[in-house]
Amino acid sequence: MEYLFHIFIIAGIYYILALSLNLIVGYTGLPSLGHAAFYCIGAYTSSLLALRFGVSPWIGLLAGAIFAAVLGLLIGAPSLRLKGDYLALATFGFGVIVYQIALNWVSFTRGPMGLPGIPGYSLFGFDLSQLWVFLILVVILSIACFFIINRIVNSPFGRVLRAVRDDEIAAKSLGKDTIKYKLLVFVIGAFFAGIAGSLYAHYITFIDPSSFTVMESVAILLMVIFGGMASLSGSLVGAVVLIFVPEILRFIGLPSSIAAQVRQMLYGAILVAFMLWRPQGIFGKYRFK
Amino acid sequence: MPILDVYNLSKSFDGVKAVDGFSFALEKGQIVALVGPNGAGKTTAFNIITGYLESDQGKVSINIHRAKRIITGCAPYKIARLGIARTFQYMRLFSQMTVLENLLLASAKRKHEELSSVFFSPKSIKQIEKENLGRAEHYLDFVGLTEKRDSLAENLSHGQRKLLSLARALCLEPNILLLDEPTAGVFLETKEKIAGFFETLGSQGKTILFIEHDMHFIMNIADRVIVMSEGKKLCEGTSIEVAENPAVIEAYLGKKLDQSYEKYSN
Repeated sequence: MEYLFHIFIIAGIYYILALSLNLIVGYTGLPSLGHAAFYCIGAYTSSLLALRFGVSPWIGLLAGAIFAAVLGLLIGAPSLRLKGDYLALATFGFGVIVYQIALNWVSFTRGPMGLPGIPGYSLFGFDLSQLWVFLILVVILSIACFFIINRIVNSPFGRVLRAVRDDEIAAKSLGKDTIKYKLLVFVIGAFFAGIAGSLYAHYITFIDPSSFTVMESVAILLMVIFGGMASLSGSLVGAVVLIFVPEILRFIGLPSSIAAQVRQMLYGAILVAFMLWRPQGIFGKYRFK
Repeated sequence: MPILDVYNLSKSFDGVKAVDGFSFALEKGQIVALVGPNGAGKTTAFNIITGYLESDQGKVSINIHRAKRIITGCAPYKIARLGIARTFQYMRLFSQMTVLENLLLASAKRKHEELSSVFFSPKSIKQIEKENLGRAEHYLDFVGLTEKRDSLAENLSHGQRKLLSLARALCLEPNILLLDEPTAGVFLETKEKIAGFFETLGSQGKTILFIEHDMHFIMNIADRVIVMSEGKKLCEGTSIEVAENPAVIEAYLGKKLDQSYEKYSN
C-alpha cells in the first residue's frame, strides 16, 4: 500500500509537470525540450533555502516557482524568437546548461553528491511527510494546477494561444502581440514546473542533478504526447500510465540495475510508436505539424 | 489627404529588386485593384505595408481620424491595431479552431485577452465578449457561413475559406483593407458574392486595396487600378484606361485579355 501511495505521489508530481508543459507545447505549439530545467530550479531553490537558511518548505514552494518563472523569462526572451525545430534545440540547450550548473557548481549545489536531508512539509506543527498525507497534498495541488490551467486555456487568453499555435503570422495580422503571449506562457509553464520541483525535493528529501537531465524533459514531453496535445485529462493519463508501466517491469523480476535503462528504452519505443500511429496521442486534438 | 500614402518603397532579395521605387496613395472610400504578372512585387508590397517585411527604403504613412502617422518599420500587430486589416493569399486560417473562434479572435478590443482577465473578469470584460460574439455572428451571416459556425476551419472548402478569411479581416472593423487575391480559385458564384461584398463595403466608406488577376472582376468593382511590373508602377488609372494602355497590354494583359476586354465591353 505504501508503495502504491508512493507511485501515485510521483504520478501526481509528473501530472503537474505534464500539465504545465502541455500549456506550452499542446496549446501554444512551442516545442520545448527544456522543461526539466524549470523542475530543477524549483527543486534546488526550495531545498537550498531550507537547508542553508532554514526557510519553511511552504515559502520554498512559492520561491521555487517564482525562481523557475524568472528562469522561464530569461530562457524565453531570447529563444522565443525562434521557430519550430530551432526553438526545440534552443530549449534543449538551456536544459543542458541548467543541468551542468547543478552538476558542476559543487560549492553551491554539492554537484553529484546531491543535497541530502531536505526537510518535509509540516502544517501547524503536524508533520505532513507521512505518505498518505503527502498524497493528499499532491492531489490538492495538482487539482489546483488543473483548475488554473484549465481556466487559462478556455479563456479568450487561451484562444489567442491556440491562434498562435495554428498560425502565428495570422495572429499578428489580427493585432496580437504574439511574442508577449509566448513569453507569458513560458513563464506560467515554468512557474508550475517549479512547484512540481519543490514538491519532489521535499518529498524525496534527497536531490541530485541526475533527476533533472534532458532525458527527464523528454519523459515529460512523452507524457504530453502520449495523453494528447491540448488535452488536460490526456496529460493525467500520460503521467499515470508512464509512471506505472516502468513499475510493472520491476514486478516481472527485472534486476534493478538495468531497470532504469529499460525504462528509457520503453519510453523511446512508446514515443516512436505514437509518432507513427497516433501522433495526436490518446485524447489529443492537435498534432505536430 | 490620402488615407494610405506609400512613397518610394524598395526591397531587394539577394540583389534582385522585388519592389523598386513603388509609390501610390489611396483616398478614403476608394476600392483599388493592384494587378501585375507573377513576381511583379504585389505581395511583397503588401508585406511591407503591413509590417511583415522591412523595406530597404521608402515610407508608408496613414491618415486615420485626421491623425497622420508613419508606419514604416512598425511590427505587424501594431499596424493591425491602427486599423489596417489584411488577408493572405493562402488564407492562413486558424485551421484547428472553429469558424466562430476564428472570427472571435478578430477583435479591435484586447482587454478581454489579457492574462489578468483569465482570473478577474468583471462585467466590462463579459460585455466585450458579448459584443465580439454579436459581431462575429453578423459577419458570419454577411458571408453566408452561419451554418458552418462550429466546424473546424480546416474542414471548409477552398471558397468557404476565402470567405472566412475575408470575414475575419472585416471583424477587425478596419479602416483600410488589404486583400491578397480574395477571389483566387473560387467558384464563379462565390466570386459574384465577393463582388457584392465589395459594393457593400464601398458604400460603408471602407478603403480597399486588393490584388487580383481577373480583369472582369476588376472592371466591375475597382474605382482605380494600379499596374505593377518588375517592382515598379507601370501605370495607374481607371480600369478602362489601364486596359487600353499599350505598356500594360505588352507587359501583362497580352492579346488574350485584350479580346476578353472587348467581350466585356460588348
